[in-house]
Amino acid sequence: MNAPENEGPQRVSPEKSRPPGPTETSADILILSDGAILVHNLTPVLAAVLNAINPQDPSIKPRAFAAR
Amino acid sequence: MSGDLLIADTEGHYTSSTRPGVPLARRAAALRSSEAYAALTDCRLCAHRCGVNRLIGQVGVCHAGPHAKVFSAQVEVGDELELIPTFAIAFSGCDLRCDFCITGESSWNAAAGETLHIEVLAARATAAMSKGSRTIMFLGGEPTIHLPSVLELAAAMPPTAKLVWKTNAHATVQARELLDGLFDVWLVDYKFGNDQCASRLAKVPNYSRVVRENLLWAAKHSELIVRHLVMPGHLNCCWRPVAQWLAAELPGVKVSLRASFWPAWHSARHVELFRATSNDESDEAFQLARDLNLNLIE
Repeated sequence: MNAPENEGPQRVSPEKSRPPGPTETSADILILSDGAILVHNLTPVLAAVLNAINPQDPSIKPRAFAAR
Repeated sequence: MSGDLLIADTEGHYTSSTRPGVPLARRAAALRSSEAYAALTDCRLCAHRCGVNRLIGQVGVCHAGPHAKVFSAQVEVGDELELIPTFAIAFSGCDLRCDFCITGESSWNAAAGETLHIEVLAARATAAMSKGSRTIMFLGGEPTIHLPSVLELAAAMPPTAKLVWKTNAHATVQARELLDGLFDVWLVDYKFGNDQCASRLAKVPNYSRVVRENLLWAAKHSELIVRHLVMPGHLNCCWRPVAQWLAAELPGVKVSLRASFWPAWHSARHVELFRATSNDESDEAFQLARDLNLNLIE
């Protein structure tokens, strides 16, 4: 049984969500209700931000320092 | 062939005699790109084997034309630690139709993004390497469907750069032969543990046979990292058989297990995909990997 499509995550309009050109940088981030943060296309800058938010997170620390 | 001679340095790295300083792999990529363009007249680069002539506007499952487009090119640090920072170049379009695709807008649309400018991207890749990037990653979508452009771009990459081929492992023998020896690492997404889930969620037949054939080939021809994204509700039907097969057929292979699924794109078409992977599912997935002595990497 399929779930109704209109119950999916809210998305911005196609115009606003146009994929960035290759000279722009972008990352996608999703914060779950339990506070967990999921990231796609993690950039060095965003990794640094996430590391600053939670310096104890062992999964983000090596990524935050990888680009330094 | 050109009568090119191969010159070995003291570390055993070969370069071309006609293009000194250019490694053989880069030279081979340039030579094979014309062969790859010719292959588009009867396209069988992926296992769909559509047989269309992409040079005259016919399209197959992937809807790709003769020239690649790129929807993202940037330094990223979200991939495996041994690969990052990586300059990641994402080609538009794909031969699978995964309803949960995190980049569905670009991966389902081979016309998305911008025209590939090889010199510009090569310059940006070179700059990224000079600023500390460890690798250059080709991904999609699925880069296999754009082999002609991919090979041209690979030929233009910095000579010493480590190249990563991130793929869904749905290539044919023809495509693999064109890729042989050009990429240092194959990073393979092994998504589904059975053909039923593959057919239902990605509209691809014979998935297990094709992806396993590609994995066994890649293990013999390059470094290999197998990535699996744990999907909610698919622990036993997908991750378990994937893990068991890897343990049996590719013992010691590097496995990157990810539990960061989120319900993107058309995930809501499938009731079980309408949520993130739970902590319990993630814990169980990693426990299974440990029980099978998989070589997990971060």
